[in-house]
Amino acid sequence: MKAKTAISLVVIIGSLLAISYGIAAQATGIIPQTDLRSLARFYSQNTENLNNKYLWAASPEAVTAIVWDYRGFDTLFETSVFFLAIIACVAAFEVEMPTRVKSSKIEQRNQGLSIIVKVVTKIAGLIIICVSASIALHGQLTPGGGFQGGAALAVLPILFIMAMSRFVLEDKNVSRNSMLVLRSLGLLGIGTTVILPLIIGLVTHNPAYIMQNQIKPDAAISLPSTIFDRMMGGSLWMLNLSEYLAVGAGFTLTFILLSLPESVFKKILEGEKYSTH
Amino acid sequence: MFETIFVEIFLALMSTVALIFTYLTVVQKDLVKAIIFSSVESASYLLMFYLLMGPDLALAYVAIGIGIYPAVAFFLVKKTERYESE
Amino acid sequence: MKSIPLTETFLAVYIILSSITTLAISLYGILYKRHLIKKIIALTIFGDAGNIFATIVGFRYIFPVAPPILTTESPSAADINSFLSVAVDPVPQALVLTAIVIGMAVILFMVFLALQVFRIYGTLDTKKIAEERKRREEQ
Repeated sequence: MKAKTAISLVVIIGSLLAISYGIAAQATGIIPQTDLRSLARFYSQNTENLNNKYLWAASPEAVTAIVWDYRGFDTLFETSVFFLAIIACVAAFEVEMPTRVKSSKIEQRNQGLSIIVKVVTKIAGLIIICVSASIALHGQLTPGGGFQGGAALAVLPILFIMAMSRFVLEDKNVSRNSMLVLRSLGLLGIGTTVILPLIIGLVTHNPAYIMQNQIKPDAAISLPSTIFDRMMGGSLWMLNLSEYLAVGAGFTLTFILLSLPESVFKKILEGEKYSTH
Repeated sequence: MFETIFVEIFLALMSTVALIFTYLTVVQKDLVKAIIFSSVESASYLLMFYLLMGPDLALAYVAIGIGIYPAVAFFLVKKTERYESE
Repeated sequence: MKSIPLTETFLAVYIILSSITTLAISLYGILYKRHLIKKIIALTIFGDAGNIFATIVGFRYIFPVAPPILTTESPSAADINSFLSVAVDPVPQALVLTAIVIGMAVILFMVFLALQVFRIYGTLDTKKIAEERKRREEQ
């Protein structure tokens, strides 16, 4: 091996061995512990504490309450990072979508895999929609939430593109523009829920915080925590629903862009010569 | 006290499986097999997340590590080349 | 509750060391393999190993142990106290959720960029791309 490769390998292996020895000898504290840390004790104690309504988050699930209420701004900016990545993907593939005539029934029957696979895919697609909606909408009571439901929904266009052809999706109006509209609607839902306490505060002459879920000592606004005796978690339910819509539409958009056939792009690349030198 | 030993042994087993499949992924020259090995490794990490009492993370990894990453990588391999040269 | 020193429990040390070794192998795959798709696959494994390590830090080494979810509708103070004595730390799990989403955004964008590189240069091997760029610059 050359000297540079050998030295860099030794440096990487040596530093990782040093880190692992340090962790095993308890340099960063005893891992794993047997007692709760103080921050975890505070969050777990107050996430559904009916005695202290100034600190609670109205949901029996501590992880969703931390993600959307106690540390809501982290999740807000993570959603904007994901949005920027999808916008960058759309901008990198900015090309005129080819116009085509709607295919007839006979052509549709000949595309894709056999008819057994197509029927089973349609049944499985219905089940995927129900299960992913259940995961997303029960996020404040059971493990789940907006992002998990959206990622489970994103399996559906993959199955449809592989079993039937991609153009079946376009015939059903699931195109790049409609998925961009759905994604923007989801993000608009998140933005509205974040600003909603401010609007309610302006109308009723009360001070309020942005992204406030329940009542606080100096801001007396709270989004409803129970509807018809079911725990709704205030703003958590609305945020989960909007995130489900946004993430599902974002992934579908990526697959629609990725599955465009190469012959279309070859024509565009050969139309303009290599002009970047 | 015997139940803790079973959980620990299963965690160590899943961790070893993940280590073996990571090594197989990195040295494999056929990219389709490398993608499938990486999804097996993701499945073993999914079982570890369930035993470490994190059900939200297990749900997220089912959809992502076994559904979305291999699908996107298969699209990419189909449009470019399949075998890693030399 | 007394904390168990780590070096007395061999299996806990083994689990942590094997996850760090997975991190090291995937780092080797990112740096020393020449194909772009192999680098992307190794980057996903790198993210997975980091998330597992963060969840191990948040685990609680007692028995019985439970996930951080309350199971009663309207808990009284006694319910919350018994929940606190068995529940696992919820904060690392929330941070790992954020890390999963951001890692996915980066990988999606890298896949699109790799596709564009293939369309312009015709190959995905970094050494051959460097030679092709030098050849086109001399023309």
